[in-house]
Amino acid sequence: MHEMSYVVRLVNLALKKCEEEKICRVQKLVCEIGEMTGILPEYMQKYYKSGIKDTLLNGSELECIMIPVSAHCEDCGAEYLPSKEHDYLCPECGSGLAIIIHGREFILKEIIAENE
Amino acid sequence: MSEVRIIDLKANVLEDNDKKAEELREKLRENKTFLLNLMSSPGSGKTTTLTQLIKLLKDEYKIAVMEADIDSDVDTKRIIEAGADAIQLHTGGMCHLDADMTEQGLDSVNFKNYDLIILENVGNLVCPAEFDTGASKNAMILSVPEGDDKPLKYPLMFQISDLVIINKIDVAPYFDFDMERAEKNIHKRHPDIDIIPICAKSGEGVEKLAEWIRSEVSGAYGNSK
Repeated sequence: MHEMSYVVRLVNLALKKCEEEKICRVQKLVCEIGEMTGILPEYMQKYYKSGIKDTLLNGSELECIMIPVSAHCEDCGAEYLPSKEHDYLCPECGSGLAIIIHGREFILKEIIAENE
Repeated sequence: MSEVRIIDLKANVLEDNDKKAEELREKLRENKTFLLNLMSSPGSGKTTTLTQLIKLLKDEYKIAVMEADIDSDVDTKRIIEAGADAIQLHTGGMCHLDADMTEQGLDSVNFKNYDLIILENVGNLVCPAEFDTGASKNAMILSVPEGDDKPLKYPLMFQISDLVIINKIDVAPYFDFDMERAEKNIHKRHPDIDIIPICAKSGEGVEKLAEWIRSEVSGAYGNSK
């Protein structure tokens, strides 16, 4: 749904990093995307192609590694993967008080560059 | 032969927005302007709720409403009639507002003139939850016809909100909406969130909402500007 605005942010960030690292050719960007962001990797791929036009990222690939949602229960300390089966609550103690450890992130993990 | 170099970054793509949002909150704090980000589905009664709320608060605060929802003069007119200033943000079809767009809106309305600014975010329960606008507090409206299971379907929205306004309580008997179940579902997602049931049409419960805002504003900035 909001993949395009992530693509724009991702491309801008990658271009900034390329400038800092003096990279002129990029093979691939590797991203880690939490499943709680609601982002569909298919749409990331689709918009990425238009987002990199006329930039030095042109011709590069995008790899999206999806990260499942995990939580830390504030009541009993258990770490768990929230699931529909347990109503997204802590399977150990049934509490809903939790800190999301993973699942909300959108991280540019690596730039794979070519040095000529 | 070209050699491949891997640059290990682990850079947060939303970092820019998060940083901008924090700066904006600081700017608002310095000026003692309270910015409330109001989110909901389309048709949940945002504008009606706001017109009722403005009537109760207009003598205490100088109020402005920034509307991002749709490009409609009708909503703006109703806000102005109720006693606040209104501006339309042109979001160009975006599904959410981010801190940059919020700042542009605040600057264009000259935010320093206001005590309370309400940001009517784009009508949608998904993306607005993802992007920090820089608001002092986040509130959302859940209206009865949408169903009491919404907190289960849109957990993030309920997690990042400080207040849930349950609107259209007058029609609850006609829908399969159970107030207790709704509150239970909301508290599952966010155990210490505030919940205020209202009927914006008749004004029932809106005084409680006004009281919530008074207490948040004075909690943040004290009583006088």
